[in-house]
Amino acid sequence: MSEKKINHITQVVDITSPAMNSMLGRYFIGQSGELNFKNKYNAWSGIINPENSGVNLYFDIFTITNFSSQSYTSEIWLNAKPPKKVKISTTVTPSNQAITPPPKPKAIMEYADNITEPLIGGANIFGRIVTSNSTLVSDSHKGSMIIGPGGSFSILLKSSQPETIKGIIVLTWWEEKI
Amino acid sequence: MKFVIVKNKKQPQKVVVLSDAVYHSYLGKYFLGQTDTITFGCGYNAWGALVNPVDSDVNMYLNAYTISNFSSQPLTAEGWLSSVLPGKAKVSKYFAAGNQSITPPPLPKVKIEDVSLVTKMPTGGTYTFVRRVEPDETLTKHDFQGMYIIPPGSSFALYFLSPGTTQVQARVAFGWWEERIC
Repeated sequence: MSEKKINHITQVVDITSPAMNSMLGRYFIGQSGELNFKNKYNAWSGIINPENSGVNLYFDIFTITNFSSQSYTSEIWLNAKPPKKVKISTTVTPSNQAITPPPKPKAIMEYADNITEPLIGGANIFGRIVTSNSTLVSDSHKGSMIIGPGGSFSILLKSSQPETIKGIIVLTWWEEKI
Repeated sequence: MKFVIVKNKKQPQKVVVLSDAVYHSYLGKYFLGQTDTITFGCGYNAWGALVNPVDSDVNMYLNAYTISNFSSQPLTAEGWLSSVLPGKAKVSKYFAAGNQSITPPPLPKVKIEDVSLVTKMPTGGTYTFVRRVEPDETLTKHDFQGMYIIPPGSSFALYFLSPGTTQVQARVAFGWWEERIC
């Protein structure tokens, strides 16, 4: 190719939305506490966008770990109301650790286990079987699920086994001002 | 890597690349949803499908499907395009727009339908592909990025063959976007 022809080609650096938002300190990773559940006693974890947050949440990746030797079912919910008794997760951090002070997310990660009441509100949009002794890693949703103030993204874990099963959920997302 | 030695005109610009699915979610046109649990076996088949109504005025662009096999049997799922599907279909209520920051949240024109325990096969259209689904697992197929384009009056169906003499349960989920036909 001649020099002239090459000059017509524009080079661009391809940056994904998650990478860009990480550079801006707006990308967060949250992990639930240990979740215990069994037949008729479910477990749940999710990120809640507070009513007055002023941001939308752009959901990226979930991982679901199964520490047991039995598979179980997970349900993915948009905008479900959290169960009555929840704990707030403290293991939430920005993916960009180079910013001081570290940015804090507006979203709150919550979790609950051994719950007997059904989830109320919202929609159960899809489900995944989590095989035994494994970590299921979702594809990068790259922000195709967007949670407005007052909404939530959450995962319900269900088992038909009488023995207690241990699981952990990790969620990643970024936040943009409205 | 240092760019200082690179001539100014060769400094590449940084661009954020959005996938078509994400772009359509920003527009409120991307949807996710699933069938109810479907039952088949003992000689009876079942299906789950995305059905684009005749009067929808949109084309449907498929981005992803998943198949959850809740049984201990491997299953066979057949992909049928634009076929006439047998049985009385149940319309799913398990769906939502990916973009929940729009008030009120947008609703899809395309319907998710399913039928359990049928014997008739789909007719017309094309039996396009086949997938074997391992026991007790969710098969995921992502990032079609709109390769399958389904017009009004047409459908994308996953038809499950009876695995023999046991009754089994499965569930199908889809991700798709919709574009108005000009």
